[in-house]
Amino acid sequence: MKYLKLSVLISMVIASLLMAGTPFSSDKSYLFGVFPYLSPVRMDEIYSPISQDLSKNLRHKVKFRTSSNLARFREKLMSEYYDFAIIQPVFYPLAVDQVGYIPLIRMEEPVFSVIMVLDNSPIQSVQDLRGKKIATPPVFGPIVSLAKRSLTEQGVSPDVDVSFETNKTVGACFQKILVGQADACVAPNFAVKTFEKSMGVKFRTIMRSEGVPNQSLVVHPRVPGHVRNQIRQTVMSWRYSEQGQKLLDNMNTQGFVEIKDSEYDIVRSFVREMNK
Amino acid sequence: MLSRLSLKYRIALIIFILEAMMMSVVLWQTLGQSYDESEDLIANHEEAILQLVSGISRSSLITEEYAELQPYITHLIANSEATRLYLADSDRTIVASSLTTDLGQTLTDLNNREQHQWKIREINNASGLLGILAIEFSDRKLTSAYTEARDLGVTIALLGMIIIASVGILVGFLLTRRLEIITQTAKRLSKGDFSARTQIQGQDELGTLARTFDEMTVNLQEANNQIQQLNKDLEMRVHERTAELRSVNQELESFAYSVSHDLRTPLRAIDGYSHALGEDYGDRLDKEGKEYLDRVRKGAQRMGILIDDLLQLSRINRVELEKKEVDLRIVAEEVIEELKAGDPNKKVDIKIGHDLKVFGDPQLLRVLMDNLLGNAWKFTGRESVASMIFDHDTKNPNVFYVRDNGVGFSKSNENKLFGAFERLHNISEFPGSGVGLATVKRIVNRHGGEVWAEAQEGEGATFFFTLTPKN
Repeated sequence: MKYLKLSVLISMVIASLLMAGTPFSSDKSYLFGVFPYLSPVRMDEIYSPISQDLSKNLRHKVKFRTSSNLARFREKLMSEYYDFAIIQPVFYPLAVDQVGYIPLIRMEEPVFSVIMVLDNSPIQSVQDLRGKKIATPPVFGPIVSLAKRSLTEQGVSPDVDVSFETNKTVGACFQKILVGQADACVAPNFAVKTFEKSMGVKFRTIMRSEGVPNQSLVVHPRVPGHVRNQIRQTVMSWRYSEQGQKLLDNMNTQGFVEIKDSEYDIVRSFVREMNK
Repeated sequence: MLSRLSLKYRIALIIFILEAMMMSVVLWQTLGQSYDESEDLIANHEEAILQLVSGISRSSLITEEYAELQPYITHLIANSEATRLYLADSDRTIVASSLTTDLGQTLTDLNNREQHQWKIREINNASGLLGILAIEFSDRKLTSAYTEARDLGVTIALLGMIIIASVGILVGFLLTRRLEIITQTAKRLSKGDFSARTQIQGQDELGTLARTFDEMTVNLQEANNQIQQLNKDLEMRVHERTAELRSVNQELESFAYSVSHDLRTPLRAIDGYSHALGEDYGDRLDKEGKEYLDRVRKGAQRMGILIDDLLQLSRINRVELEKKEVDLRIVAEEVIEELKAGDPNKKVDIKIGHDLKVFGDPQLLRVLMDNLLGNAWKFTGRESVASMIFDHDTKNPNVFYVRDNGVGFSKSNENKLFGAFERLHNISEFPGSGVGLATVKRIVNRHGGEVWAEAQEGEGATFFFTLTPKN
């Protein structure tokens, strides 16, 4: 009995020491990062309600944060700044393989690249793009690579038959079409509806690339395991509630599913190819 | 004070005061409105800056990238009324500021300086507070705009008032110039210059007034000429009539004097021969004859008295007044002495007042007192003890009276008292010529006074008369 009491006491001391070693205390907020694909304000409109919902379910303050561009987001990701983050596919190998973030869930539908023109544009097919200028988002993601690969497969040589102009954001890419400075725009499929809604313009798809696994939610190991589970359960349950469905709609996804690390091998190969 | 001012200055002053009041109200209203509008405009401007900066700050707070914000802050401070700016995160840590030394400090309570105001805006998102934006704005622009508007308004108002006051004086001068001409013409007219004319032309009210005034003076001149002509005619007529009257009067007086004088001689003869007849042939006359003879003498004597009285009445109208100080007390005492000498057995109580000095003709006043006191003496003849008072009214020193306790007279006979030859009593009871009170009335009237009487039958009478006292 005496040894039992002593062992319980030692266990409590060890547990308390372990808890003290945890980088989180209850009064510190979780930093929830999202890779920038829209303007910060627009992203705040989408992700601050999500952080609010997470705060409620985790019973812990969750702050949404993003960066002004992908390079800075990448820097912060590499410096392990975020406690958990939604990252684009191309950052998956970096976050998981290099930094050590734990992959939790991913968007159900794959992401693919689309080439869009204005609905009333005379460009009807990929072949009509010859001699035209195509605006693109930054080349960090797989979107531009996927598009170029599809164009090559359809006999249109990038940088030979068509020219490309890189922009800071996807939004800037669409704006170039509207002002007549580009004939088409490369964009991730999930972003099209958002811009049609915000710009009040109808776009038409003239090319769709093959798909790759979509954005994933990764968690830093400093976040306790039970919290990770709470995050997973919360996000995956959104599709079952009206309020959660609204959050998913804002992100242009049907919902999140469990992640399999091997699903991102294709992305890893992309990254390797890009880094060559 | 205001009534001493000329009309033109009064008009100008009234216009100036009204203008000053109106200008003050307009200026006050305009400045107030201008200030409110400027205040609203600046508030809107500040609100716009707040919204713009908070929008940019929102991005910075979400991305936690504040370095990009710094150029905007510097530009804002340099080119607007914003003087200081702080952006703090949700922990109130200053993450961007116009003063870089404050970076990393905790945002505490902000106190407003003079002419400066802090405007604080919380930046929230769906999950709560993102940060706090605080911008200090200066009121200098508003104050300066208000001061400029006020100075400009006051200057314009003062200039306007000076111009309007000058116009007021000019208008007043134009108005009063013609009024002055009318006034001067009226003055000349009042001094008898009927040839005065304003000669003002014009169709306005003053022009009409001046024309009417000139027409009036023309009419006045004509009327005056007519009056003067009438006066001349009248004077000539009066002169003629006066000469005629004087001639007739002289003739009448000569006639009266001649008649009186001529009547006296036979009367004296009648009286003298009657007396001689009684003396020389009295023993041959029986008693009845003597009585007849006595009656003849008395009649002649009475007629002589009547003629004397008539001559006296006539002389009163003709004699020139020689006024001087007369003590009526002394005159009354002399008259009483003579009356007592004529009837020494009469028991009489006489009271004569003091300070009865008047200003008048001594001879006529003596006649006046003779008649009034003589009447009192005569009409108290039946009284066992006669009472006579001569004094003046204590309240009205120019009113004198003679009061007796004689037979008096009926009130209905008052209007007959002062007529010539009017008698209220039988001559056998109270002898007399009947011209005494007529003489009294003429003497008093010639001295500018009045005479009247109060009495009751059997209870005495009081005769009042007014004369100018010595002092």
